[in-house]
Amino acid sequence: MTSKEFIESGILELYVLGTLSAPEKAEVERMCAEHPEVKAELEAVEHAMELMDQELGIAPPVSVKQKLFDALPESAPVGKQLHLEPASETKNNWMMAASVTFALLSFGTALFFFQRYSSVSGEYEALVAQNSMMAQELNQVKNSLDQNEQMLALATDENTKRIQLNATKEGSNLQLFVYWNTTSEEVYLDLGNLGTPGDQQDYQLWAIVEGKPIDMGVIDFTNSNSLVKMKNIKGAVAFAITLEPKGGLESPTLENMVVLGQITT
Amino acid sequence: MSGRTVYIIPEEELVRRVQEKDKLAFEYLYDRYSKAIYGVVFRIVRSEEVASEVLNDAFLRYWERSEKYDSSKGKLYTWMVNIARNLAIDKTRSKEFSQSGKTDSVESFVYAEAALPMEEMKVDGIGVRELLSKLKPDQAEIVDLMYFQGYTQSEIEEKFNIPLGTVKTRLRAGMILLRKLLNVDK
Repeated sequence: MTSKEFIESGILELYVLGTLSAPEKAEVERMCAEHPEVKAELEAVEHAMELMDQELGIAPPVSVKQKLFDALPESAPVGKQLHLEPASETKNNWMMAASVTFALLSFGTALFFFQRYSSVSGEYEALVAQNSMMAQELNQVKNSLDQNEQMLALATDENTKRIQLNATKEGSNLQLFVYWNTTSEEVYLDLGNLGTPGDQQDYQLWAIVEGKPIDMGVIDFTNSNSLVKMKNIKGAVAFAITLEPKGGLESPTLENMVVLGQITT
Repeated sequence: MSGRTVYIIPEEELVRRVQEKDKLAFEYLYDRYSKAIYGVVFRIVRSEEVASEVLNDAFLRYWERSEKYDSSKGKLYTWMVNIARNLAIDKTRSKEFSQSGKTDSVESFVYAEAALPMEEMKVDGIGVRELLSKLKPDQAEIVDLMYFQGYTQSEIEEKFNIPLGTVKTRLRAGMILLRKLLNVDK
């Protein structure tokens, strides 16, 4: 049977009316799959019947629709997915909005904590620096305290002599003190208002023992403390400071003497 | 021509959404097809009450069994109308229906003398009777019996002694003429 004969037989109309037997239906489906012109005619018959039914349609009573939709389940049965498009969109929109909100909140929170962290981090570094400075200061204070304690111990020791050294030149108001413990033979120099001598020179302390000047060392200004430990000495009758070339000399340059103090017995 | 539905949702999408139990889509399906299907059902059962019942049952079946629809076998409407037609035919053959006296038994059927209550089927300015009057009587008889009243070809062969081949060719010829009259061919 050609496809034309097949079409002309009227079997397609019966197929559309749903009155064919199972083998006949299978035959129509096979012919449609194999012959595009059969498939096209089947679609034409279907289309025509649908439109004819639309033309000849009769509006059903309104109550039918009411009853039908009242009988439908309110929501999708359990286990079946409901893809109601508008609702789905709403859900997506809601989820999108929630996601965006969450992202913004997260970003905001992160930014807040980052700023807090940066701020705290800066504060922490400042505190570390401050702590370091305070430690240094504490160290200096401790050193200062130690020296003051030493000085106090020295000054209050009954064997310590406090010798005032006065300026030897007209117009100079230099005044220093030497603390000398005659028992321990330790010597401390209180620099008083003595200024630094410059890069090429040093102030050098001398002790006069049995008429002869003994080197007590050059004065170290690197330590900011006003009390400088010098060499030990015994049997001194006087102390003097001269301004000498850098590093000092073995014997003093007398014309460069700045201060002198005699030990009163 | 009037009364044609403007299709807004493509059939493929409509099927998918109904299969996913989308109530809005199902309501669209009802609004789009209930009139055509109710017309088909009413012409078979000839009772507003029974036609309403059948229409309700048919749509419940579309809702519950939409996943059975196979687009490769034909259009959605073809599937729908066949379910409705079969439900309507089942009604006419049920004991209850026969006892109600509403049956249009083959024996009482007299097409040519307009025994059928065609007037009540007249809608949108065009009625089945008016249409059938345009066909040759032998074609109109077969179209009326099969297309409008839901008889099967074997029932017609048996009750009216018309050979199956003749039933088919008369139906085909009648349908082609109706397609031309209604100007529904693509």
